[in-house]
Amino acid sequence: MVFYRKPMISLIPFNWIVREGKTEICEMVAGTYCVAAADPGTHNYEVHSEVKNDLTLEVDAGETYYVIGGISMGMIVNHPNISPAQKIQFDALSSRLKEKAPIADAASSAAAPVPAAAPATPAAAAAPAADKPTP
Amino acid sequence: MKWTWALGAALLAWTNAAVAQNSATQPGVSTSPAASSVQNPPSSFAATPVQTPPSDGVRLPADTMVRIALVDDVNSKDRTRGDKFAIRLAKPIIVDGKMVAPAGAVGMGEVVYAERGGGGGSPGKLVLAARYIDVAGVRLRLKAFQLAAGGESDFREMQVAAEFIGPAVMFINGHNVEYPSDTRATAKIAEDVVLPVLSLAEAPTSTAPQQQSAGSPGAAVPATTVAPSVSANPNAPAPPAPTQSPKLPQEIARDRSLPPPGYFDPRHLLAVRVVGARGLVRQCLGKRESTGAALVAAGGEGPGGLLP
Repeated sequence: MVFYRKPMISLIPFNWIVREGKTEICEMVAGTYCVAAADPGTHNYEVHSEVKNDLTLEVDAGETYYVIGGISMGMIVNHPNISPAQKIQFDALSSRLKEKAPIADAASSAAAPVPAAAPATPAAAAAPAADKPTP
Repeated sequence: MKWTWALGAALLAWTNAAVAQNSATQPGVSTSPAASSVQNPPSSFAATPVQTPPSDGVRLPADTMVRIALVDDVNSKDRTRGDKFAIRLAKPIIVDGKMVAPAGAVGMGEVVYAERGGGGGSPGKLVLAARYIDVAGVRLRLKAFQLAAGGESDFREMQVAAEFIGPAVMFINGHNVEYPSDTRATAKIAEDVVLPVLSLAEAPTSTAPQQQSAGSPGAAVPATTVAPSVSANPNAPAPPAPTQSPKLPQEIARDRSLPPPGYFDPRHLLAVRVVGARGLVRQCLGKRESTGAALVAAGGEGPGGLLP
């Protein structure tokens, strides 16, 4: 799964976290993309603000799926939303995107008993490793 | 009383004899090739009887890429999760010069997720899945149907519109995703299957484009090109000319005469729909209306789009 957002200049950064149930997957920051592994099957991803916005995808083994994050107007605060996207849409923006490690991998690398001098390696997903997008 | 028991025993014995006779005459599933299911109405989605694959057929490996086209119109506004829609094979499946699945073979797809455009420019979403295609009585299960999109995000336009109409911007709905009939996408065969050979394709296999996925094994890959029939007999009737396929959405978009960017259409002043304000903003910003889905189906090429 590739979660990405278009680059956007704003006075106040507006970021959000994509979750699946109670598991935090990625933090969607403008101008970045995040690659996360997903088991084959049906997945329901959610983002929360005033209202909940979700997306259900059927993931097949060996396939890469793209999810784009957007913002819509709200009464008090803006609402994040996630929508399915195509590879061609991601490729059009990939040169302007920076890679960001998923939350699960960042947490596991921080919890691992490694020396403090060793840099945390941004993990690449095992399943879609062959389809990892290259900016 | 005694004749009642005798009558019941006789009836029971006759029933058992009938069941035994039926089981003797029908030992198993019929292996005769069934008629093509192309004539079956796809909208009914009647359960196609599972046929035993023919022993002399051609093996179609899993992850073989096929070209699928929608038969029905599908959009995020009218559809809900779980809705079924008809699909068909857009191009025949040819393996080693043998056609195993004709173009037009029908099947079924399902809406995995659908959400209409909401207030404040929240875009609609549509995720489709192709479930199967019926070919000569054999069900081809499909996966990895690459047809899912969200409507374009109008956040910047909403911000500009909010300067003019204020909170009324919440009544402007976002774009819905629309996939008209004959929208085409790719899918993959979910599992290995053996199909009977329907006809010999005369297209030169050496020049046929090979569509192979990254994860598929190095087995025979079907060429999805349409093969013009060439008969060896010179006295045979001339083959029918290949019919022109219907226009794809991107071709329809390019045929339309679009106004240049920045062109101010006075009709927008007379528009009573709230969405007209969004169109006014987009025209001022030099953008064209698009469904988003049209760009996705068109491969995201060009500035063209479908004008409302």
